[in-house]
This record gives sequence, structure tokens and C-alpha cells, in this order.
Amino acid sequence: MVRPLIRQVLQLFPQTHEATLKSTRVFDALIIGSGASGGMAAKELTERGFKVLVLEAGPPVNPARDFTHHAWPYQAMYRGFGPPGWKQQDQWMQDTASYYSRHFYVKDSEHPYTTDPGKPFMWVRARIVGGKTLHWGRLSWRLSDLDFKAASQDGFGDDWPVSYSELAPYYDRIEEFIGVAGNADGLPQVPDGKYMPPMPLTCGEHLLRKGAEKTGRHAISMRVAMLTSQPKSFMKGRRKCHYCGHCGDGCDVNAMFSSIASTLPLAAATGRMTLRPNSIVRHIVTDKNTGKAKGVAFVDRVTRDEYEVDAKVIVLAASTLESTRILLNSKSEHHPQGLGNSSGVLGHYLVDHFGGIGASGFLPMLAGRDPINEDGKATGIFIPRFRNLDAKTKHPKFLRGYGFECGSGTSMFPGMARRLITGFGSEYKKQVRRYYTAPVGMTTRAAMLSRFENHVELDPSGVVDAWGIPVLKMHIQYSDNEREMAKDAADTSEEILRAAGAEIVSTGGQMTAPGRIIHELGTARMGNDPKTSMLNKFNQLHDVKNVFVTDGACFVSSANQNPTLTILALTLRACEYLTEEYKRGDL
Amino acid sequence: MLTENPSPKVGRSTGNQRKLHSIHGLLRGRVVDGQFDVRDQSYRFSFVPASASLVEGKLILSGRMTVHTPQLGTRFVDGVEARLVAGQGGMGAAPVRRQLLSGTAQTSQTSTSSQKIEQEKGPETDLQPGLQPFGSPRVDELGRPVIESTGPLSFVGVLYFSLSTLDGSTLGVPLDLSKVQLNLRLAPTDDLARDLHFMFSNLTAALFQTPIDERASNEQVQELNRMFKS
Repeated sequence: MVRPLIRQVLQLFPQTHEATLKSTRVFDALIIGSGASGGMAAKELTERGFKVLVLEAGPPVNPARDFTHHAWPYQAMYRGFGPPGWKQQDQWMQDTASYYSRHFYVKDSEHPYTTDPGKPFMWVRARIVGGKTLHWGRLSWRLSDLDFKAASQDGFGDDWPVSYSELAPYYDRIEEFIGVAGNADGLPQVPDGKYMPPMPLTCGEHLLRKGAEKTGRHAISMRVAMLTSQPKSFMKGRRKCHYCGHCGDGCDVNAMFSSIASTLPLAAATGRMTLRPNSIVRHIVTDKNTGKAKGVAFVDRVTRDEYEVDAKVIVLAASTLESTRILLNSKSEHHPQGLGNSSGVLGHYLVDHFGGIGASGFLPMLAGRDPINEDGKATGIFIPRFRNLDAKTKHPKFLRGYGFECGSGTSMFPGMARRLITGFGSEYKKQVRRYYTAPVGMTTRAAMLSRFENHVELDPSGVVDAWGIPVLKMHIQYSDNEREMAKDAADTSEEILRAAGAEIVSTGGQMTAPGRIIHELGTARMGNDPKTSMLNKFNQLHDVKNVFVTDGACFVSSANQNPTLTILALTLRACEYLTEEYKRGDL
Repeated sequence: MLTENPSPKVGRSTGNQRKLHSIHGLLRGRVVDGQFDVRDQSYRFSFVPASASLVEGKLILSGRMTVHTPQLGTRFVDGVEARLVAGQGGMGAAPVRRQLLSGTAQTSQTSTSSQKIEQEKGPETDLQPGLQPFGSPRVDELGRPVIESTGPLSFVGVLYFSLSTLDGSTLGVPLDLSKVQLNLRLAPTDDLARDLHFMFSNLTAALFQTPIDERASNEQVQELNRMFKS
């Protein structure tokens, strides 16, 4: 049943237009990257009549071959975990890669970067058509003016050059297009949008929600980019989620939003998109006279042949740090510090969210019940930010805030129960069976302050990747603000679990190393002042009018919500602006 | 179909890379062992350091580079120098590796309990977030949780060496080898590699600070030489 659906999706992709390619000497727009932002830009610009070239650094993906959606552990050698040592060999930093999904991620052995001793950064990357949308977490929260205008409220850093009211219509359109399941909860810190029905909560999640409410916090259904009702007419090739729980290995019914399920097929259907995989952009080529971009230089990942291609407009959507790396590598006489970097802020204000702090335990009232299938549900509950919302909730030791991602339910493997119950033999097995129906846990997603000193640069010692392209050196550390927030999160998670009636098994944890949450943001931030920012409020380089950066690099601050929905909304808005400027001849 | 598209012809060709830019190897014992591909041909290589020295504050390993070519058999060159230029990961912290993917069969057999906690922290793609044990609180002097990267579970990564000029024809590789970077991955699976890893960690900590800790780095280089000769 699944295979015909794949074919339907693939049929949306037209044959490559060799004739068109040869005759199209200059593309109207060139998009670097095919993930969330690149796919959305491709859809928007082709639908507006642009002839678009999408360059993707990684290989093409074929769902029929590359997705291992419904594989059972016993169907694979090593029960799907892969042979011992496979991850250390090539993908030691690709934290979320499983043996089934490893081909969605880069090989660290070919894609190096550097750090100083004791200050690691974990850079998880997907170089493949569709990018990280093939395995993303799907959580889709709006930012609010608590985030966009945070500096005005607490005095730290800078406001975004956009407000919530400006972005809200674009959030509306994106939610409608990608399909987001959730509730309208009426909480200003996570503004409501247009939702499909939420995924139901498990018994444990209902109990946890009551516990949170006892402590004065809200607990709401996670908002996820998954189809929970019949697809709308424009969602061709997508189907309702059937709760198999293998989202990270690729969704071959396209219930979860991804570029290859949603945006790229629509762009291809216009006949105006050319997508070239295996194309690693070396730098943006600029006109010696005007300083404007005139194309890009790229190398074929497989053949190592070098090319240049011309375009009137460049949209950088290669992911936060890859876009910044390309800009840094695009030095020229006009742009000696990197393309569009007269401000000197390119590479700076790097942030990630942090996690790793929380609490876990058992809900005794659920222990010993008959196990049921609860791990096919691709989501849990979320306790939105509750600190520093107003004067009443102001915390004395830190700015901004954090939320908790929480879950409870039986899973295929005894998981936590197996690890936390000690002993051996039949009594041990009995205890594991009793408690594996009752686990409950919560973990933090927290904001990180944007600070100039957290930055990336081209590695000063000249380290290059497998194609000879200079790599990044990362400089990022948490400040006291994040450390104090972590302490508060550890204490609060325990308080909430106790209020839910849980037996606490473990609390605290360690803050995740920067990068590990895969929400790296900033480094080419937006702003109204060209002296302190790279991009204007429409994601356009202040210095180079025909270059736009639409991925997470544009973020001014991290907030504590997952960023992809905002990236999509900003991309949509940038494409509208780009189109108008293009028509006016202002690019 | 786009999903199976051979790369379409776009733009103008500006040439073909004739250079080998970087090679990647794992430390096994004291041998750096790896493989690279040239036009669908795989070449295995090994670099065996015979001595270590410090020159102007840079670590230089000197030894034999061997390449096993598909057509020409085994070729080697002695006296190849590898100059340490950069690192990745927590090289300055205690070198406990993140041994295996979370939940692998071997995790339970080989990881310490703290490593298991490290491995089981919920990633972004967790279906049921938070459903993992958190370790006993590890806190700093102010009672704040520590950061995993600053503890003994740091992500130990890679040492990047710049190799002295190699001759492709001597080694049987049809590429320009004049400027090759050796990416040395430290993920020890034997005692000798683990000991060397420990020394490389201490050495990079001494070398990459400002100013360089000359005494500590000289001691580590002496120890490296002792191990290379043993």
C-alpha cells in the first residue's frame, strides 16, 4: 500500500530539462540547499514564475530505497543497531543518526570542523535532498513578541527587526500548508495558529498535565507538523499519520512535513525548477565592478568536477552554519571580510538551545497494567515557558526562559525500566514488566543568550574538507545565565513530577554540549542597522541586494521554541519581498 | 525523476580537481589506518609514526606512509612529516570516548554508567521526550548543573595534521598529493591506542593554550617517542 504512494510522489517530479538547462544560461534565482527553507523558497519562487536552480550538496533520496519505515528489529542484522563501531568510523558527531537513517547524515570523516580543546561543539548535518526535514523533530511553535522584542523587555541584546504581528499572517499560511496538529491553547508565549486535531495524550501524559497544573504551569499537546486528518487538496501524495512511530527513519506516507513530500514536488510541477544534487558550493561569485553576486562556484561531490553557474538572485538556505561558511568563503575585493560583512558580525551571535536537564520516574498508578501500543505516537506534551513572562514571573537569576518536553507511555523495549531496575533472574524480569508500562519523563528546551563572543570563523590553521573547501572553527560556551536556568529547570522538573504523583528515579542531568539540540541559529543576523547586522528585515544582505539568507542564520535570538516554523515563515515572507523587488528591478 | 536524478548539466566547467585534499584514518595501536577513493577506486593507506618532535610549538610526527593501490600493490615512503594544525572535540579533557550509539547491544557491555546516561539523553527526534534516566545531579560550586562538554564525557574527536609533500607517482596515486591533510580520528579500541589518545589529549591541551605549556608538551612528546619505540 505504501509503495504506490511513493510512486505518486515521485511522479510529481518531472524529468530533468536538459534542453532547458542548456538554453538557460542565467537562472532567475539560485537556491543553495533543499531543506526546510530551500524547499520553501523553491516552491514560492517557481510558483511566482522564476526559473530556479536548486543546488543540494548531498545525494538524491529515493524513499523506496532509503526509508526503512516499518522494519522490525529482527529483520536486520544486529537488530537494526548496526555492526559495533560503525558510528565511530564515520559519523561520530551525528548524534541522532541511527543505523537505519545514517545515509541522511554527513560523514564526519569528510566534513570536518575544528574546536578548541575542552570546548566542543556537536554539529549534526544532513546533506541530502530534503536536508534535515527527512528526520526533523517536527515541533512547530510560533515565536511571540516575548521573543521578537525580548531586548526591549529585559535589556539584553537586540530586538528582531520584525514583530509578531508582521509575521503572524505568514505563520498562518505556513501552518495551513505544512499541516500542524495541535490545540489552540490561548497562551501568549506560544501564540495559537491553524491546527489539525492534536495527537491524543497517553494516560501518563494526562497525569503529568494535571501535575503541572497543580504547580501553576500549563501543559499542552505538542504542536507537530504531522497530518492527523485527511490531507487537503494541495497536499498531493501525503497521507494521514498511521502512528507507526518511525518518523526519524523517513516517513514514506509523507504524513510528516518534509521538502521531498511537500515543497519540492510543487516546485518541480511548475516545470521551472532544476535541482542538482551532489553540488557543493565553494563560494558565491561576485561582479568585480558592482560587488553584486552573479553566480556560484561549486564542485561535484562525486566526480570532483568544478563548475560556475550564473543567477540573478542567490538565496542561501544551506542551514545556519553552512550558509555562514559560504559567505565567509566568498571573500573578494568588494567584500574582504566575507560576502556582505562590512559590519563584521558575520559568524557572530551563535546560539543553540540546551537540553539534558530534567527528571524521570514512574507513575505507580500505571505500573502493572496491561501493556498497550503507545510508542507509535510521534509526540508528547509540552510545558511552555513560565519564567520571565511578566513582572510576576520574573526570575532573579536569569533572563528569558525554557520549556519542558515531556512524555509517558509504553514502548517496544523496556527502555528506562530495564536500565533502572537492578537485580537479575525472574524477579528482575517481573519488575521490568511491571514498571515498563509506567515511565514518565521531562527534559528541557531552553533559550541561550545571543552573545558576540560565541562565533564561528574560517579555521585559521587552514583545515579543509574533502573537497578542499575551508572549514569552520567553532567558539561557543554557555554563560552564567544558561547555567542558572539549568539549575532552575532541574528543580522545577522534579517539583512537577512529584505533583503528578510520580516516583522520582532521577533528576538533574548535564546540560547538552552546544549544537547537540540541532537548533544552531544566528551568525548572519537580521537587524535594522547595517553596522550591527548582516540582513535587513526581509532576509536580504544589507550590502548585496541580490543575496538573501533565509535559514536559521538570520535569527537574532534563540527564544526557546523549535525554530523551523519560524524559518519557513520568514522564507515565505522573504520570497514575497524578493519577487516585488525583482519586478521593480531593484535587485 | 528528481529523486534519482543524475546530476544535470548546469553552468560551465572550470576544471577537475586533481588534488587529494584530505584523508581520514583511525588510530589502531600506533597505526593510522584509513582509506580514500579516487575515481571509484579505493586506496587503503596507513601512517606509522616513528618519532615525535616539537618545532616552533607545533607537534610533528614523522614516519612511514604506505598506500595499497588497486593496480600497483603496496607502495611506501619513509620520513613523511605530519604537522598538527588543529583539533575537534574535547581533546583537552579526559579522553573517555562516547563509545557506541545509544542502546546498542554493546552499550550495556562496555560503557560506564555515566557514559550510558550520556548516550541516552533525548535527542531532538525523540518520540517520547524525556523518557530516559538522568544522572545523579552533577553540579558546580554554585549548585548549577555542569555541561557535558566540560566533564569527563566530552566529545573526543579528531586531530588534523598537515602532511609534508608527497609524490603521487611514488605512491601510485594518480593525483596531486602536494598538500594533503590527515584527519586522525581517535576512537581507541585497544590499549596502546587508548594510551596514545590520552597523551594526544594532554599534548593538545598544552599546545593549544596561550602561552604554550612547554614543559608539559615536552614531557608528552618524550613519552610519545618512548611509546613509538616500544
